[in-house]
Amino acid sequence: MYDKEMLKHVLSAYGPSGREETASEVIKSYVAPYADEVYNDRLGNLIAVKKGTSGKKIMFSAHMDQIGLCVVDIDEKGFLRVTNVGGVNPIISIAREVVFKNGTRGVTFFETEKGAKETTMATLFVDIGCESYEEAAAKVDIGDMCIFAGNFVEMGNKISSPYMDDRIACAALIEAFRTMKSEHDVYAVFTVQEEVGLRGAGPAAFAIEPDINISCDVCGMGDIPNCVRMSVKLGEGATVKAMDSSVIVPVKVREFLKNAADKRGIKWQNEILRSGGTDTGAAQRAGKGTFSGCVSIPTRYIHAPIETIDVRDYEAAVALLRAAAEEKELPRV
Amino acid sequence: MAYDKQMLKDILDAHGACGREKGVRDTIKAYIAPHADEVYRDAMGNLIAVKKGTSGKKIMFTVHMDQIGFLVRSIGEDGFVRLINQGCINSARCIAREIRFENGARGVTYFETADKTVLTAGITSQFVDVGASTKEEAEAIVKVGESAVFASDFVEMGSRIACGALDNRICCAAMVEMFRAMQSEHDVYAVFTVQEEEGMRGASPAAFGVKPDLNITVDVTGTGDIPGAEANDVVMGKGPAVKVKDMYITVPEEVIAFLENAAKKANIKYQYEFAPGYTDAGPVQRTGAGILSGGISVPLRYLHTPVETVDVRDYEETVRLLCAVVAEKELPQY
Repeated sequence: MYDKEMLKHVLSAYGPSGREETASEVIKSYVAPYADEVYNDRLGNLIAVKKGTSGKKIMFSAHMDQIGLCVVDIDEKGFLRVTNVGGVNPIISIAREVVFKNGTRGVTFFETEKGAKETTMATLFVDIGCESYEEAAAKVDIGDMCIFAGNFVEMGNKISSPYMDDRIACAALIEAFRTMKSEHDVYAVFTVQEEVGLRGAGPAAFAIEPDINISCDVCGMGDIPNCVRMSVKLGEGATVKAMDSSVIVPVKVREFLKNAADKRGIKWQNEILRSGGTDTGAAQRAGKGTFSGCVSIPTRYIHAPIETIDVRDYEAAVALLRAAAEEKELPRV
Repeated sequence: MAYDKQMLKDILDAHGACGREKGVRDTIKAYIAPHADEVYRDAMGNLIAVKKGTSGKKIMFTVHMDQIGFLVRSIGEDGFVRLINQGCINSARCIAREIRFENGARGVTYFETADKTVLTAGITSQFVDVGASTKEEAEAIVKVGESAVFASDFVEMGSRIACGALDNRICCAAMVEMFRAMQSEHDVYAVFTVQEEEGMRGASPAAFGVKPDLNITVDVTGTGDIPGAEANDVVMGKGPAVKVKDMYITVPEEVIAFLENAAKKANIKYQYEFAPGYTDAGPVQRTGAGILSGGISVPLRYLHTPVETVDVRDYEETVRLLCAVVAEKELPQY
């Protein structure tokens, strides 16, 4: 049984890219009791360390930032004009509930006279119930960011919620970190600013100089009606990444993960993500380079506020991350 | 603010897509019955609450209680559920939504991404994920014909509220508030109509049965006070709108004058509505040998989405105007 309250808490913590402090505090509260050391680096990455005896370092990374909208202007009637933080579809963003860090709530709409076909971030706006610039500026400042609201919807084995990307992986890393027994130094790194270009993971990996990095993120799937073909299915296990836009995972790393899974009977699938990058790539090229791989949780409807996962895949990811940490031999050059 | 928030929330939350209004009918009935002499439903499913007067005249209010929604059209072998919409809903607004079925099941919507975009994926290229992997699993959750609506939150933003189904539950709640507070010499009929969103099907049979001296339809109306909106003088926070025209009615001058007069006497600010949509006011006008018919509308932004937004001040002034209308001794003459 997974820790549902922890998952809900982690899913709902505010933390758009570059504004991850609240999410970092929430995650810290869950990992600190199990860590020898917990700290934030200069970029804001949260790093929890559990010391081992082998002299080797294994790093796990899951990004804690989330996509959202940033206020670029407040007009004279109190409407907020916004731009995207990360990959946000402007049409999907219409008629949504949003929330700011200070609790201010609003709804989105667009300039209808131009028609939906011309909807871009420039014609989207946020209504926070204000009638003037002054009234709105008292609640929200230019540069403030909002995130999309939504519910935790349980549907059999599946759960739908905003921000499964990548809080489901943060929760998986928390669960694994709590229970893992490793001979190595384990670094659980909750990275910042992944959604705006994998900006946090590289500096963290540079500082840690791990023998191997395993990222944990979400990946797409091919089991919804009439979608682009992809072998990944919900409910068939965590994935072992072969490739995405940011990385080609070394064969040695993939074999390491597959063996760790097979030894323990953990269900896994092969994953090739046609488009989209992950911290896996940023960590691979940090410093003099490091072995880097990725375990993903298959997710439907990524970057919409109804991202959907299968609890069995989540549990498989937890088991696989723990298994990787418990392997005595790490991949060697 | 003094309005009955719990009552409004209960009425907003009740299920009532077109032709599937049982949930909302029961909810409204429970709230209005203590203030009515008689409450009954007709064959259409309209809920009618009556408060008797002494003048021998009848004033009727038509307030639709149905909401935009969906019916399950089919369930695929893959366990994905296909819907058909009820009422006018922009296809793109239907994508990536949480929906709630009448039986309590929940699901999320998406579209066929291989050859469609958010803009080209009509309702037939969309599907609901209810968490099932096979047809059998899905059929254990929902059946073909099951009714569904958008899930939404009750979002308070200063004097504003955002929620799905404010069209037209805000007016259903206003009618309950009117029944609680009103004084009238006339027989007052509050008719909560069915199937307005699919072509105003419930109001006319109800009017035929009631045969009122005057009908006032209470509904919502779009505003022109958002960025890049089509021209529309109605704004939020400036009071209820007196209907002059919509696509199915040009309101008789004597009815407009009657409403203006009632508002002025009670010192209520009002606006004028020229709406590009339709309401129950039109079909009622042409019922039987014809009925004097007009409308009072609550300004509303983002119509037919899960974030429909109203101003509580407009809601409260609408309740005051409704009370002022039934307090008038003389109804319009022709």
